[in-house]
Amino acid sequence: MIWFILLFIVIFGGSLTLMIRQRTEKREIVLVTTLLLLGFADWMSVFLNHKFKSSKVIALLIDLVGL
Amino acid sequence: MESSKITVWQFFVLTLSFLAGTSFFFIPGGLIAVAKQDAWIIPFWAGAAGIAAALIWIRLARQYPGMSIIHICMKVAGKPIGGLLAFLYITYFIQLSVFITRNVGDFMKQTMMPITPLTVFHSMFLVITAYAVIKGIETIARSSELLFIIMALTFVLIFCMALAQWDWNHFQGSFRMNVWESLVETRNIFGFPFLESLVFLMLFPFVQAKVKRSFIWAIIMATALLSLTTFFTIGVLGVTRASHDTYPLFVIAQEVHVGTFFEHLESTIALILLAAIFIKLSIAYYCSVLGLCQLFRISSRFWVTIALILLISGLALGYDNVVENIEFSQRYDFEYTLLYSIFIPCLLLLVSWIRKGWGKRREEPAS
Repeated sequence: MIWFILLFIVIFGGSLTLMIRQRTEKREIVLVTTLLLLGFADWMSVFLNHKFKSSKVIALLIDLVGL
Repeated sequence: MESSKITVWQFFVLTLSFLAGTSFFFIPGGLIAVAKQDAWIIPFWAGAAGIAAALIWIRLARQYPGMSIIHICMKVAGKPIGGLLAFLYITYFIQLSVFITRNVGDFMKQTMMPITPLTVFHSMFLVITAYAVIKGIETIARSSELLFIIMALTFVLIFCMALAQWDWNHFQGSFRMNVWESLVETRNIFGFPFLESLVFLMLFPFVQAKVKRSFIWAIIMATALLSLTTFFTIGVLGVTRASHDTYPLFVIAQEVHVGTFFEHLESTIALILLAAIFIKLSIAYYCSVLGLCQLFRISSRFWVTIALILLISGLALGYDNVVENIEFSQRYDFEYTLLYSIFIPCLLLLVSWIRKGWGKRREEPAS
């Protein structure tokens, strides 16, 4: 897990630096950062044995609606 | 928005590969388990429903020419509600990409490389697909044009070779299906593959002409191919064997023997499936990225595509095993897809008609 976190920090920092240097639009930076952090949170849930199951959320919602 | 254009033939190939590409691998086993010898009939009514849904999407797209579903949502329902609907569509495209990615992993791990971790298949496949997505829809369309011919020829070759094991006795006891029960139990076939072709609502603006004709023909072809594959699987493997295998077509390829020269063609069929999954994943992934770029008005796809690799590969690990994957597909896939493919498009059509009606009434007293 520690290697994943280190790799993520390097990639995240690198991509942010590159985007800022390329004068990328602000909203693009915000969107990419959000997506990367969501991905990171999801991977952490896998490493911590509390997998986030998107299919389970969908199933719960469908059951809740009563379809 | 991207100014790329794809030809009618490219659009036809994309649609056909998307619909038939993976389903002829994953669908027959489940259908045969429920409807036994009559399983080949089921794709026909699912295809008919697919055509009906396609007519709704085409009607919606024609009301707003040159617009994708994301733009249509924003235009019809306004920024706050339309934005929310567009965001829901993007989550659907991402979930579809996750599902397809997981299919690659499950297939490779079960059949070819049982020791390799799932993440390796997912990340390798996603990196290749991301490259295609960055290059754009024209690249995806051209590569699918090339791969389609290879896929079709290989499939026909294996089909012909496996005919040696054909047995008409496998069809004994046909036409005893309980139609309503089979319809309910195999309802997932409406969702996968037919209704999930709603992703093409994102690609309609790129097609030069004759969208309706090529789209409908692709659905008809996919229906015929799916029915033929199921028929072929029953004829070669029989009901009992076919319904107990996760990938019956793979088993057929494994058992092909033509002398001692042509044996164990399973790697060949695995290659076809990988090519089909590549096309399907490229389309779903491209639609996710394009949707995000359109919703947030971003001109470059590069960074969004790269960032999505991490999210999709992580979410693809959210299933414990292939059984959970199949169970979700059988129990919830139809209901889940129905919301995006029928309910929201009908709602958008209704709102746009009401708006047009109001607009005409306002114009009349003024004139």
